Amino acid sequence: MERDDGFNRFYKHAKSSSGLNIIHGGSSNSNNNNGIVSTDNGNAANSNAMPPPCTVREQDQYMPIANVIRIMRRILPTHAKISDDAKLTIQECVSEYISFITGEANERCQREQRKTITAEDVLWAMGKLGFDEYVEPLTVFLNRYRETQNERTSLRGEPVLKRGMDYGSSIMMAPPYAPPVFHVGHHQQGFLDGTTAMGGYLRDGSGGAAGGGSSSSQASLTNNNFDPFGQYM
Amino acid sequence: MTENEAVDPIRPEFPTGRVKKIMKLDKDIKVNPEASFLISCSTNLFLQFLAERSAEVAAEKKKKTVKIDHLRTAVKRHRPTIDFLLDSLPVPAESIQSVANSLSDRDLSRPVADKPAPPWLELAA
Repeated sequence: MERDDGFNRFYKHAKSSSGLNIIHGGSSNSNNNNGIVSTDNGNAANSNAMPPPCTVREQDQYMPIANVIRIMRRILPTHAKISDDAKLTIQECVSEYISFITGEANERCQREQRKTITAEDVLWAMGKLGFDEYVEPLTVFLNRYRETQNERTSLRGEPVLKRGMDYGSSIMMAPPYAPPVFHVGHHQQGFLDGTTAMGGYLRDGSGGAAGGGSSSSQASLTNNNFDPFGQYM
Repeated sequence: MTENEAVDPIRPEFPTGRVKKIMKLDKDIKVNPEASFLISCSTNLFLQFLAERSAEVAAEKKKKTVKIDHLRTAVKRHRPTIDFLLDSLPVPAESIQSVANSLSDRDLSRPVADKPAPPWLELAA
């Protein structure tokens, strides 16, 4: 399978790190086996070759093309078009990226003899693979996500603090992943607008408020006149 | 990402199930919801990055349609992305025409290279 080095690089990773011999297809990996066949031919879609009939469907290995196109259109100038093969190629790039980050996160997980990839593994992989400018916004998103989860459980009357602290301490207290200053790298204009509010929250709201989930700060977060800049300045 | 972030939760652009499926494609892994959420968000960031950079290249070349060549150039300008993506992109047929005469027809006619093109070739595009 030397044709598709991009994916094979990660399959080889998987073979050595997880012990699963995916190329030859373990009993639980029959789908993945087809995935490999299809992946080669997924790329072949760009080269006008026809995929063999027994392939994994597009919906199993790629993001929906509609989502991909929608996100791209928001970024591109209004008049800009995208060629069809560029759309397909970018759709594949998206899956490549996921595999790339996941592979690295998974390796770290296994090195530390854990079975489940955590948010911290993902953030670590980002940094290691050169996407460190993502780490800060992702940390913001993660904190926001945890807030949302905590709000949900607190509404149900379940204990909140424990859940918030399980993953919280290692992420939010660790300087490499959650630096206090919200500074984004070179392609900030693409997405920064949508995250400014959260970035302000992170900068001004301490990690303790986000992770500890004190009821007063949560209540204020759910307030309709939540003002990230006014709240903590 | 949603526009109204003040009170709304972040809704990732990508379907959660699909994210997990793709993560599990080449390895039988377990991933917790936070991790797949972050992967979804970061993939969104990456896609926006690719779109932005590709559009820049297209604009530089005064083209209205973003093509694979523009994507390829954009990828080449970002070191971390080159590392995992460049080999997977279809080999451009026309942009290497002038320096590819000495190569075998195989390299030009097969859109996806069997093996990575030599470094000097990639720089030429």
